[in-house]
Amino acid sequence: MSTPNPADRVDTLERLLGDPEDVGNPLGYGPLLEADEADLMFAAGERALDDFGLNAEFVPSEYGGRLRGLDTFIGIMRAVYRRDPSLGLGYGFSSFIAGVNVWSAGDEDQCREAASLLLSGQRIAAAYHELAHGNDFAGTDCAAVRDASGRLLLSGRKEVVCNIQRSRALVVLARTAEGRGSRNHSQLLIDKAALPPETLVDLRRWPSVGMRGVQLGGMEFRDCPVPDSAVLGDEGQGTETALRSFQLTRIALPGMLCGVLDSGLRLAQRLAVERELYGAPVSALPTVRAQLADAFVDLLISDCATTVAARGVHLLTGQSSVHASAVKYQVSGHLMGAMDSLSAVLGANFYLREGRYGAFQKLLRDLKLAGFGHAARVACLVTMLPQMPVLARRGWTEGPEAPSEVFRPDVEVGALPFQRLSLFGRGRDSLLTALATGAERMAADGAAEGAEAAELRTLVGQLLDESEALRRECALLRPSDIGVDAPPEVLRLPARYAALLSASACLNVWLESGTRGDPALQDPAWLIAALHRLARGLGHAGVDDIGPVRERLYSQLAERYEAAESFDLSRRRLPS
Amino acid sequence: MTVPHLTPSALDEHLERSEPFTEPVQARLDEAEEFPAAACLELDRLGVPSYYVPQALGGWLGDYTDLIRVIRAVSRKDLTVAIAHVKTFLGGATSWVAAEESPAGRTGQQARALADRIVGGAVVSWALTEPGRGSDLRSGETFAEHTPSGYRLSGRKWPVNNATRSDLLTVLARTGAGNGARDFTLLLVDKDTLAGDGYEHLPKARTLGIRGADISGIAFDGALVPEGSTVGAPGAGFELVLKAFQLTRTICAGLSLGAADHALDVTWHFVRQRYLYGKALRGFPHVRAKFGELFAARHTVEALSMVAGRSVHALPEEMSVYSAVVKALVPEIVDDVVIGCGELLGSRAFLREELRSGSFQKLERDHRIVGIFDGNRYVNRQSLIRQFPRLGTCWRDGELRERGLHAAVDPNAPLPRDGRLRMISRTGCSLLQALPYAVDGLRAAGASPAAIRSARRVLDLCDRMHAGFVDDDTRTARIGAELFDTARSYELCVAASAVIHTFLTRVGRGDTDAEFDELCLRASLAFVLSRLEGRPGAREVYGAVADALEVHLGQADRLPSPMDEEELRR
Repeated sequence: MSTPNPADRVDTLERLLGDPEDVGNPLGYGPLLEADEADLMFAAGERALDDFGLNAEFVPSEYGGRLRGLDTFIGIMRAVYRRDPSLGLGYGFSSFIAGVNVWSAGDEDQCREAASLLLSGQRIAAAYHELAHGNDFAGTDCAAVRDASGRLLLSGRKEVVCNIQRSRALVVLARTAEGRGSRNHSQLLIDKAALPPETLVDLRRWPSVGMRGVQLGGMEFRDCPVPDSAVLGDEGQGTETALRSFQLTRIALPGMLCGVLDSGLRLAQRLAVERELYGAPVSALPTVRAQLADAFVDLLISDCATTVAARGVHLLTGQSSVHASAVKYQVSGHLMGAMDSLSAVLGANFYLREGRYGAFQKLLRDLKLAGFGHAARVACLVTMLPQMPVLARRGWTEGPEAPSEVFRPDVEVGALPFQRLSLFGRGRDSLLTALATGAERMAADGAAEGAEAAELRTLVGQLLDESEALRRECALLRPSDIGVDAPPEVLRLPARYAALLSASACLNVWLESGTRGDPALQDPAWLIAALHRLARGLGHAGVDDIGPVRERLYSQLAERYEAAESFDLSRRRLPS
Repeated sequence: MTVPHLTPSALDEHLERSEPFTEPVQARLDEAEEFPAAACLELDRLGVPSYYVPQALGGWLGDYTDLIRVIRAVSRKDLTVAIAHVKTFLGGATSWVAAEESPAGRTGQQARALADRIVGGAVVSWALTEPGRGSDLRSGETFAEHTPSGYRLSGRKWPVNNATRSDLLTVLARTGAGNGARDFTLLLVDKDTLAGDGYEHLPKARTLGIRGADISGIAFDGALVPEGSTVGAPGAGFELVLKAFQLTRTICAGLSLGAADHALDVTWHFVRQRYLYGKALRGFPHVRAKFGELFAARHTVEALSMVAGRSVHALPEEMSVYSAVVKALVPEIVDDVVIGCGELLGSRAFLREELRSGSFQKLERDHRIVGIFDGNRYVNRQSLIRQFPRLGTCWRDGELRERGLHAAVDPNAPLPRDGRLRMISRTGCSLLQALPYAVDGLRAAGASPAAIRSARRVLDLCDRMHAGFVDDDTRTARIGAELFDTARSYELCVAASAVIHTFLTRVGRGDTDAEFDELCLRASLAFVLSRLEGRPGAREVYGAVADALEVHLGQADRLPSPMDEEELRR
């Protein structure tokens, strides 16, 4: 069977799901809001995704699925998230998380088993979480202990786990040795149907404020006998597998959630052109245009950062661990900040769970997951911190140049290198160094002209200064500074890094856009606004007057709105 | 004059033990979108409505800071109840303004009658908004036609808090055809006298937060409102509303302060008992710094609210400034405080039944409305921006209403009424204009060099900011986006001045914790500067605040609050 190319698959899915704002669409905001109100998964949406065969997107092509490029996967899932993030998470992203761990550490049989299960439309739950320990995997209590006959018996609880009840299989993180060491846990792939039912007890459901439809449940294992063949990889390798695999999922989650801001922007712009205030459309108010333009820039920054990091998994082998945590931290901040700011544009309408703009509050609630879900923002900083000193001493001054394809979403990448994911970048970081090489190229190419070139020079100068300051400060870090109890000013270092990484992604995507002839991306307005926003966030002055650039961006946003195009890098035609 | 039988602190203590205010009850009502009737009845029984009525009219309302305290006490238990109940003050406010401007005759009589009804438990609503028109009140189309038998009222008011449950509504209606301020009149509509004729209630709106509240509407279709029902003179409606906003927007601070109290309380208890990586969460330096910063944020808006509340009496002529500053800034900062608490709570902030019956996620949704109703940020910043030229002049002249300012900043000073509410403040903002003197005062009071340096930075920023206040295009509707950023900076500077003045009135008194006061001063100024300058700045001070709070909470069950302390000291 031939697999249609990714762009066509997104178009197919978009058409299948239709225009969410169309009141006649059975898959639109009206029906899906009703499901949300009732704490239910959106059944009609799930059926549509069954028809599309979304599960195949979670399975690598070598096992019969359609999963190849991580950025492609994000693009497909974004079509779901832009309508109903509950559907995105609850239909399938949790199966994807579980799957990645299997593809990374499982043997051939385990991979085939997981693939066939997913391809037959069933789910695998990712059972890592225990309420008492949160992001602290080393604290995991749920344990698999060998009895006298050498059989593994699983006991303990997993809590607030998506789809644990309705999934066919589970990937469970369980303690296989005492203590807080990093090799005391293992991952188990277990088929619920193959185990004695009395040893698997469903716990109650945890209702949530966002993603209300998603079934967050729990399970208690009561001396559940697990075959040795369930262990993924070697015993004791569980935490490492999880952390390696989460590089992919920490990039994918914010990448998919860009769809939420895309829809939030559309609803806000819709109100701005439909409603009148003081005798003119709301969009006539300069401050409203500025808020919309800033949110647009937040979306473009977010898309650049996640797209580049996703492509980096393929093209910058072994470097992704720090990039993944950086984009999870940085992008979740942009997305949530932008949606908060858009809520002010919607005014009282943002507060209503009904009516023309009633979907906004749901998107806002659902987006909360970006902050804590799949590693809290501060946990991301803590994860990055130990790599900062070595990157500062080596990675940001020498090391391989990033191939230009990293910054070109139009070029397809190959299959995901699950086995080559590495927990430490070994002092290499081609993405941050690309800030400096990009700056040189910009100067050499003369890619922008006149006042804009001067503004870009100013901004890039500020960011390079910041990068140099960061390098100096990180190089001075001592081993005692970089633990989980690092002081706040030390935790600021990876946060500053994350902003610079995003700036590098934006600059280089813009530089490469010339090769693709996309006039909207070639216009430096968005880049100036993006770098200004990032520089200001780092405490730099930015450019003197961002006003005219904002106005130009607002016009571009309004054009895209009129043409029913998405606001992200893909500028995709949406069903309307 | 009546003496309150119920102090705000007594109310607070009472609510601690009141069943309808317990978290499981709130959670159940919120899920079911059911009105918190038992809690509201309890507030009625305790006499809270008397706080919605000025002392001159037989109520308990003197110092508006006490009303803020009352609202704060209710809000820290349940914001939905507070918003549902306090609406009656909003419904009455235009009548109080009108009666103050002409105490004799019909207006005074009408206000006294309304006061009696409110003290007796009547629910009064304020019907301003119309569908699709948002905060643009002048585009309203509800029309009151003057006929020999009274006013014929037609039009739709929606969304309106308590539109359905109210006994009376103060309705803004058009009596002229134009768009001028004089084309609107306020009518006090008593549903009893309409006897069900000519109106119907519009269904309750489904909202993100305050799910149990009666956010509904009312449609009038030729309802006959008796002659003599106008609040103030015909044509005075718009001006009365704007002046009443100066009161209502100020006391909204109580809603935000209560929400901040609740959020910080939940968060503190959580970080104390939560263990991660083998260590209590409160032991992590970044957690301590964050909590200290959140407390500093609350301290900042608390100081501002205290001064603004007292200014209703002490500096009424400047309330157009203070009310806008409070309503734009306080909910915005408290929304951020709540978000910050949510970051510390992690998934607990996302689950509807975890951690004290999910009371945090409820308050987070509930509080989002505070920045929207009764004039959102945009409206308040716009009204501030329109006053920029005057504020610039007053800053340069260094003019001060000294007596009023003294009474406003010192919670123990006598509080006579000194003037009346005005549409525009002729004397600018005495609180901010006194900043140079207050900074000198810090030196005299022996404040730390760090505090004095921070205060000087705020002062320098004020000088630069006011230098730009000369522009005349602030009078047009199309105000540039960057002026809204300037308005936010202005508000922050006013808050900083309130913090410094509050510190100075407490210094050397001997009955406060001087060391902690100084710490709060430094932390609040650091917080304000981080916002003004757009970068995090030095954070060591926040950790020190957390250390001090931990000691304090070893002996008390609540975070220290100057507003609470000053009340108990009386």
